[in-house]
Amino acid sequence: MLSPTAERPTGPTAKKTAKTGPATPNPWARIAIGVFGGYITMTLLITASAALLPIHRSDAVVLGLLVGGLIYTLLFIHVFAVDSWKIALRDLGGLSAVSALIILIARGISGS
Amino acid sequence: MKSLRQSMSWMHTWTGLLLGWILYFMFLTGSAGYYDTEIDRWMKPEQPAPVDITGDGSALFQMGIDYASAQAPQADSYFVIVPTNRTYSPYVSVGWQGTDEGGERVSGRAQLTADGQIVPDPRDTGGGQSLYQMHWTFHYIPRALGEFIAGLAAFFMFAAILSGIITHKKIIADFFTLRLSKGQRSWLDSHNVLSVMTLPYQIMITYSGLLFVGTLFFAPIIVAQYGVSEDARDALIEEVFGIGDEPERTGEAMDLTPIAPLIVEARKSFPNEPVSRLTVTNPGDATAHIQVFGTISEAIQRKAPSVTFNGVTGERLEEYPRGIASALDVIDTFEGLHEALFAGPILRVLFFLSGLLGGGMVATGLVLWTKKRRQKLSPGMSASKSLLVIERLNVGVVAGLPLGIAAYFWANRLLPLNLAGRADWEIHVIFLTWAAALTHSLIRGPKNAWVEQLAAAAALFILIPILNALTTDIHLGNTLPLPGRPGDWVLAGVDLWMVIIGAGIAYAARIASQKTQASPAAAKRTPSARRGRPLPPPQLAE
Repeated sequence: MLSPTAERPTGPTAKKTAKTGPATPNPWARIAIGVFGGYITMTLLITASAALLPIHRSDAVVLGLLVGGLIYTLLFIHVFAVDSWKIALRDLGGLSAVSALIILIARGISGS
Repeated sequence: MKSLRQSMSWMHTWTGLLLGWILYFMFLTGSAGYYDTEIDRWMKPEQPAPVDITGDGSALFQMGIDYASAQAPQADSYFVIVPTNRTYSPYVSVGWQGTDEGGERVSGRAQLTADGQIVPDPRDTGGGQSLYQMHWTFHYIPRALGEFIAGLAAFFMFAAILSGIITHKKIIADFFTLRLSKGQRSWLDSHNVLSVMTLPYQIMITYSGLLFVGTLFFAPIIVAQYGVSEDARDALIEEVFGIGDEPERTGEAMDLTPIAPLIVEARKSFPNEPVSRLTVTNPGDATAHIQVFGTISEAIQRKAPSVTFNGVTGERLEEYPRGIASALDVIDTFEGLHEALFAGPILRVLFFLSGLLGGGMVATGLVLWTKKRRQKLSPGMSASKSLLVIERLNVGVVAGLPLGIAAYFWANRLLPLNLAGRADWEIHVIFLTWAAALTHSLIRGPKNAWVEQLAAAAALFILIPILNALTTDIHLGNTLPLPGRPGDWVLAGVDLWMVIIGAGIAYAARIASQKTQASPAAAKRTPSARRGRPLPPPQLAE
């Protein structure tokens, strides 16, 4: 049975693989991106949101703790939902970069 | 491109598999935690009868304050807790903290009976607390590492739950579908039924578990706002939890005000619940203040209301209300649901059973993973070594852990009372038994190991009341309430639960035994029967 998220076979081995069956599913890249990439992205996303929202830092922490697990899980699910781990890496990297930029700008403006 | 449902099925399999064994351990030991204080009492049979509270407990509080001030007149703080319900120790707990003349921190605590006698030290035992706490500390590793692993396991579990929900096309139908004696299909149905039946509980317990270890697991969120310095830590505690510095002593000696009027006054703020705890800061000084608390387990929210008084004049200073008012209150509510301190006897049973069913859900998922791989093998093809090992270890993990927990109760009664490190040895017995079960399953193979280990666990659990009767006076003959005798439902309940759990495991052993006996005949009739029928996607998609 074809793994639902097995990466599409490409290159010289594609024809052979297509004839003989599915590519071996390799969950490790997605698990690594989901666990580590998701964690970094979640932290940056929450920190950036705190920088944008007019809330006290104590409220930012408590809200972050409250929704952190949910955001982390949704990012993790996204990593498994897309076609390849490269797309997942691109999405998480992009989101992290935008969040980091917002944090830097906000901290630059506030001088902290 | 594959559908989202198929992707989630694949993710569900891997997230469940990666930390499945740890999650199973967390579910079973965590479920025992719903009866932690009851197990504590059962494991300390030498202790006297619990304190019975009369009135508002002010006499007990005053007794505790007097005892603490006699033991540690120079202490910086005292606390007194009275046993208003099962959440607390069954005696009057008194504690104190301070610094000695050399500047070293000193502290002490004692438990008192209603007439002020010190409760003698019971046998050295881990009790229900050790069993409960190991579901997130894992006992043998540093606490912070344990909490981090627990957080990671909770995260994987939450991801597995969400992906499991997405995977199901017919979640309602799955609730009512259980086809027995159908090989792999039966395992899948069992997994689905156990999951869907307790789904709200599983979502709540997983996310609230993640919140419990949130300050460690999501530490970068805190660091991003506060930094990592000592001052930052103090600022965090003050701003988030509202705990500020204690007032400095003036050195002016003043007597504490009587406690009884303060309790009456405090209960005007929380009339529907008893006062369970009070703390005294700077006792004997002009800056003394007394904080009187309600009961943490009175409401779902894991927070006790309190009123603070001037410790000399008795003047009301501030009030700490309970109410849904902030994100922190939402977290407290989740944590309250997780611990279920508020639950009465019937709701507590449901929490306990839901926890056990959660363990069953993980266990059936683990077995299903190996069944699927068996089913994929072509006729005549032998299983890989890794599959064989995982199949056997699954038995050792799933059947061996209840065996270890039963052995824990036996160890409490049978280990010599003067054994050095006795409480630790009780815990060692759990893991040594579990290790023996893993070894046994590797040697005997899954079919034999299922039957033998489940039968052994059932026997150990069912025989616990008899062992109890042979070694202590708190057996069913004395604790079961009878006409004209109040008995002690807490102690009797632990014994009765052991029999019920043992009977449940015995039933599982019987089913495993029937399968083992039927299996060769079935295999003879249809060689492919053992592998089961192929299932349509998405359930089998990986």
